[in-house]
Amino acid sequence: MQVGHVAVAFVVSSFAPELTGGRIAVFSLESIIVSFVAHWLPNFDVIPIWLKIAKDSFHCTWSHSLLFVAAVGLILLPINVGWASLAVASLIIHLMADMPSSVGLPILMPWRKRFTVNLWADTGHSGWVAFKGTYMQAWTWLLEGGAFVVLFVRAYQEGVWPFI
Amino acid sequence: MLKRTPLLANIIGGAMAILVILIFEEPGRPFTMGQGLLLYLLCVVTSMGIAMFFDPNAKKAKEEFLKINFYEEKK
Repeated sequence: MQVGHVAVAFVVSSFAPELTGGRIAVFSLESIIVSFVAHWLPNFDVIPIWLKIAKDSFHCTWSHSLLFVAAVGLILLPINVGWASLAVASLIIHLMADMPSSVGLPILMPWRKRFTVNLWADTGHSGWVAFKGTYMQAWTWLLEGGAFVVLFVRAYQEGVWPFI
Repeated sequence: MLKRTPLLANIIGGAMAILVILIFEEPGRPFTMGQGLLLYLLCVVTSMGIAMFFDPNAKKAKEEFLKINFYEEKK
């Protein structure tokens, strides 16, 4: 998933009160920042690849596992319970959003078996080929577009822009 | 991409937008023309995926990408 991650992160922030037991308000700046940072956190594994510190095969490994989700949740828990809940939800949804890729995710790391729903072929971790290749396939349009439609409905239900 | 694919996406997208409006629009709080148009555009984007299921080029693209391993170690 590429652009669809934006919609998915916003949709998560639209459920902030439900996910945090009312600690964080719907579509608040806090909910948006936490959802976005947590949602993008797994993809920061491309930074060491760009810096040539890690190999290409490092992408979609530790950062896309339940161990990583638990670690982030446990780090945030003593700081802010609401942030921890929202971050865990955002991370799990990130894993679900990436699961349809043919490359699969080793969600049970350190067990390296990869799990995939295999709806679209993997096109690499970054760059123009990865971006263009993603949108040459049917399921990406359907799921990513669908995420934006869900965001539209949530914005309407919550009365935020463009529904003020 | 076949010429009929975007056309098919527009037709399915229109039907999808109407369905979303019928399901989610609250009485006394109708969508404005602009909001309806935005919804239609989002539904067309989503429907592109459905239309591409009937486009052999999309299937071919997936098959081609499946042959490539982007994480193979470079020698």
